[in-house]
Amino acid sequence: MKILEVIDLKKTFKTDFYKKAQPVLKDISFSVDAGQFVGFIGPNGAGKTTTIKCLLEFIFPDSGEIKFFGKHYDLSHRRRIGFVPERPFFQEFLSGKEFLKLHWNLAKDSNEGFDQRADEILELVKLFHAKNKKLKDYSKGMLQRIGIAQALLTKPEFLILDEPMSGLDPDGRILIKEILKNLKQSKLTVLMSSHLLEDLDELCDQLVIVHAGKIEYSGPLNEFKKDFRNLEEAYRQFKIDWAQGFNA
Amino acid sequence: MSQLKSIRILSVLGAREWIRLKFFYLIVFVSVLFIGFSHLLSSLTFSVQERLLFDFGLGGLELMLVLISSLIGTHSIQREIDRKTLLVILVRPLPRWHIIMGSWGALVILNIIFTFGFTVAFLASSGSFKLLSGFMMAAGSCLLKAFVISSFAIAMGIMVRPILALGTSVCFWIFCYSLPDIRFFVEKMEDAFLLKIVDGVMQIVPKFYLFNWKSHYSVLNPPMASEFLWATAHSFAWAFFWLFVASCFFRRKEIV
Repeated sequence: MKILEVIDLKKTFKTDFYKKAQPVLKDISFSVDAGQFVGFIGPNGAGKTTTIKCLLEFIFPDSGEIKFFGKHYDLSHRRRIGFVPERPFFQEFLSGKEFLKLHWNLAKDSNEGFDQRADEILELVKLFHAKNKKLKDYSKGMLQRIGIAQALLTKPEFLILDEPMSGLDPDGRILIKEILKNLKQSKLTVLMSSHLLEDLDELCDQLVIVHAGKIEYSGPLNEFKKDFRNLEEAYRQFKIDWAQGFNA
Repeated sequence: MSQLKSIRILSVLGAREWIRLKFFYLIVFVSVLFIGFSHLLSSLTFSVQERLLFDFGLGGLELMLVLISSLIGTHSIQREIDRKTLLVILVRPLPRWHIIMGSWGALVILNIIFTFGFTVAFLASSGSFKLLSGFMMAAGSCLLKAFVISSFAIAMGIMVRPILALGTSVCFWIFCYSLPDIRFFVEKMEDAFLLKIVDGVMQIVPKFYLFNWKSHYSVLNPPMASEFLWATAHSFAWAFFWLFVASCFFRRKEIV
């Protein structure tokens, strides 16, 4: 079953109203099947975050189609999708549990089952001990983990993570990676944008490479790196080939 | 019901957030100064002490409410966008107009808390609790105007940059009061075309001048219930109109 289908997505941005619109997404097409852990990679400015913003309707594409669970995106799909932003900026005056309660209340009609689910999820992200602490007193790693907790709170079928490990210290990275490994084991469908090839190599089974607003590769990770020792080497060779093709 | 629930949650969240910021305390501090000054000013006169006290105090209340409404209203959504706290809210299953209503709800809560606090402090300091009902009517009229300015400020804050929206909101507040004066001067100019324009404009802006009850006279002679009801309906109609405009613009606003 296809969880996500992106077809011919195009997006331009104007930096000023008198300037010509610059294409950011030129032709983005890829899909995510149920149970897959998909790595979404590319250099800075390639269009990863813009694509994710289009998926979640933070911005609106000029053309193209986005389908979740085989249908066009609507409010009901949001109950089935979780999102972890790149920078964990949340309402810092709330405690960890209050923050989760806020998101539970925005997503669900009743409070029933919240306490049990919140404790469960706080255990999963290893923040149970800090559930009554204000978010302003959380470290960046803890904020990223509470971000993952709010995304998983309502048991989504599809999780979108935008560079969840950027800027974290080694301990924070290890913890987040452990959580993501657990998610992979539970067969949750995940789309994760990241620059950390080593982590993606460990976690992903599918890979989507975006470069200058175009999808350059979309397929199994093993196929992409079959002639190389790891993803980093494969990606390095891919970049060399891409540059040669671009110059030619 | 679930729609009301999410609006209520966002309103309380917004109000909690703004109450803990320095801006709100600054407004409270200035208000205390205002009450102090109104006492000082009234003590300088022998004959109309109470009138000066109430006129100055109620003027201060409206000014502070307009400051709260326009400053917070113009910045509420933009601040969430800049701080990226809006992103995780936007992925929740609620339409974008709930966020607009939540912002306005937060301002309604803040304005009510402020008005209540001001009323208690003012009447306690002046020992005029016998005039409570009249004062409440006068303060209520200020509050109604603040509701309109809040919605206008939110709409402007979505359309243009916050600082421009702030200027526009304060101008709008002044404009809603000044139309009869403008009409008076245009009448003196004897320009029929201009007069028609002013008459037209008078029909399409809130008529704050019709419920300008922030005076000692209005405290002693409170408006009739029907007048207050009209003012309430008029203010809420305008507030919802601007909230509708804000929702239309915010519906397709790109959160970059």
